[in-house]
Amino acid sequence: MSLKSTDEPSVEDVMNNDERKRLARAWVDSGDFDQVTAEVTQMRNTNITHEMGETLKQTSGSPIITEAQDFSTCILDTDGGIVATGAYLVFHWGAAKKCLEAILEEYDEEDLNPGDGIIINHTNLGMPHKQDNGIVMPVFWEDEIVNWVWSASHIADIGGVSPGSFSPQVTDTFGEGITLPPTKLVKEGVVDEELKKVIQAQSRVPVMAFNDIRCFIGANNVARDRIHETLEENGLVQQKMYGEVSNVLTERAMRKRIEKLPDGTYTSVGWCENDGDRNKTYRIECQVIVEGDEMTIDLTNSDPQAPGPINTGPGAALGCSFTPIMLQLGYDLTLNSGLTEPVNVETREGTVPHVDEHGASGFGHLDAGHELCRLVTESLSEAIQMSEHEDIHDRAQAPYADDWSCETYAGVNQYGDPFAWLDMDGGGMGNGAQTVVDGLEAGGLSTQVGNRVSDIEWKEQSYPVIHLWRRLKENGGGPGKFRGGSGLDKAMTLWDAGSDELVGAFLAARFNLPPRGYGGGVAGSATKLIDYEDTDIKERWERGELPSAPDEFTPGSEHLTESKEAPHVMTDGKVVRHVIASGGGLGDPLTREPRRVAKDVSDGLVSVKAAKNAYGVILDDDGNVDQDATDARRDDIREQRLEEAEYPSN
Amino acid sequence: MYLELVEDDGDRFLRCRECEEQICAVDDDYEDWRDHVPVRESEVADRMVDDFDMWVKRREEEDKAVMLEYYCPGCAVQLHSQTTLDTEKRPLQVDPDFL
Repeated sequence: MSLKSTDEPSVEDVMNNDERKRLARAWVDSGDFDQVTAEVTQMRNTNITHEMGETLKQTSGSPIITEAQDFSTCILDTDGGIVATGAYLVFHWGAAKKCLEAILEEYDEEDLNPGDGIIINHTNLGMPHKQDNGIVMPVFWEDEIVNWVWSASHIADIGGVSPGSFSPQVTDTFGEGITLPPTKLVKEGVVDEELKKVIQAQSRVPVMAFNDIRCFIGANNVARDRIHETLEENGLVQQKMYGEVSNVLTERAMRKRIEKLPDGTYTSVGWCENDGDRNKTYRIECQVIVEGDEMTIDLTNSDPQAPGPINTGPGAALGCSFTPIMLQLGYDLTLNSGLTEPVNVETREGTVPHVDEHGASGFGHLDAGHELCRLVTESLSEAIQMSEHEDIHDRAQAPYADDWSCETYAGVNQYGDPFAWLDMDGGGMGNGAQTVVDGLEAGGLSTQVGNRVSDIEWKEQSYPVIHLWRRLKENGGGPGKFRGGSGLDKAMTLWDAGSDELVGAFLAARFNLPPRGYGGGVAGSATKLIDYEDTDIKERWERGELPSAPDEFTPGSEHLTESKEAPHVMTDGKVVRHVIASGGGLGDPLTREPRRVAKDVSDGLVSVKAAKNAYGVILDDDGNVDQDATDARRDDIREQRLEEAEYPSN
Repeated sequence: MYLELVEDDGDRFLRCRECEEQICAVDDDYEDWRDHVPVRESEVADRMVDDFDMWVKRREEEDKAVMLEYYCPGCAVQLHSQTTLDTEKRPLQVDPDFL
């Protein structure tokens, strides 16, 4: 490949961020660049971040990485711009950007050497929560930093009062585990053993925790080597210029889409409920302001931060606010800094969407952070529906459930070893319905598109539990012309444990206020955790029975937990059932095709009662649609609606 | 989804896409349409658990969780189904500049 442009920049030009951007815009304006080279350069960078992801999965011993893919990889520019990202945790681009800004505040270039690696998990400086730790490393080329590389993931335990470091009972961040501001952990390729001792001393799983940190370093080293190969092959000028050209192309495409939205302010208000301290609501106001080809997300008019750990940091607020914009408007564009350039996110420190330095935030990105996702989705869908450009109307959608409900446990496993475990099934929630299709049934968080739920056989091999069932739940997805995704219903009990009980915590965001529907669609169902105490499950197993539903065993008592509960304990004979939130529906449920409702009933996703009451669909004894009865039922519901509703003035 | 802005001889009004029922005139407050259609208000748990066989935990605190279901007065299509707190009945506000 070679530079096609006649206006060949110098190394000094491309290393100057402002000048490089100016030149790239000029190239794109004039068309004086090679489009294939731009695409190949971008894809090569993106593939490096994928190889980083594969390195993490091959070297980590944590199921959070190997099974659930709860990690992020990025190549960044020297000004914090995203060159490429592996798109595992999409919203981590906000964390990467904010954390690199904090690192650049802390370290001058002369303080850094090849092989240095900086660890960070500080929420107020950019990380979503302290369990997410990142290693950020400069990439040198001919004695200058040309890029930064980032690998980060959720570590199983970094201390704090609850196993797994999810601690709903705290009222500041000091009970949530170790805080790591930008700290040079790796010096010229050598891990600082003294710092390693300090970090490991905080964790209930010190070997696993530091092995994860080592795998971040390994992934970054792979990225550094690949970037060096690319630079050797293409030269610094071509690599930097075409990376910037790709940013400019993406930015312009994104601006064209924002321009299709009517200028105006679209405001959506939502609440976080139960901060762990008490079941108070915390209001978040999200203004999406569209002006020409730019968009501002203004969160500054939100409530002061909560005592409990539901507040989110600025990095997660940035990433969570941007994610719906990417999914709804930038769905097919390249994930680089061009995508985010036209979007500005404004927060105010000391509020629920922007926790201060000492505020609790361990569950923040999953609580306040994902409320931002829901609110931006709602506002943006309104703007999309009001656009005079019908080609984007299909991009409206109901909000995702976005309630990653956490079950953590610690104890002694079947091999006699202590463990701390975050069950990744909490990510199995339903997604919002779209204008042409039902929501994904267990699609996970909008911000974490690469996440997966764990293989059950692997879980039972690794932890002292056995599952009674895990399936899609009935009557989860919000009714609508297109139904919300269902989410998971699963139950497990203690099995072959080395300790009498497992102790952990439970945290969910949505118990009282379910994920909303859109455009006449109904809200999705909420999360719940039920403890069935003193069951006869073992006696039934001995009789050869295999209970796989709540009515197939007998509990001594039944306890519906709060949405934040610690300690949450699993004991012998207890069955813990976790029902995970569902996506909202889209469109009036009475307009859903009856045959789709019949299939939902047949698939166990909708009950006969819900088919009749929510959808107005009547099935015959064989499960087929009774069309005449359905027409009559729907007429009755319409009549009933107007009878039971009142005009506001009345 | 079910409302469209229609202009006729300089007058602008919202109407139902399903039955073309005219809902209200539109000046500078788009959200006014909610005052011109019938709305059913219920506690979220009553509606979702009792009627739709779904799950949500009843909010026992003072700020109740409510569901507001807005219908077209002409054809009864469900224009909007909103879950909110009873302290804030319009959590979604649209203020486009073209009005």
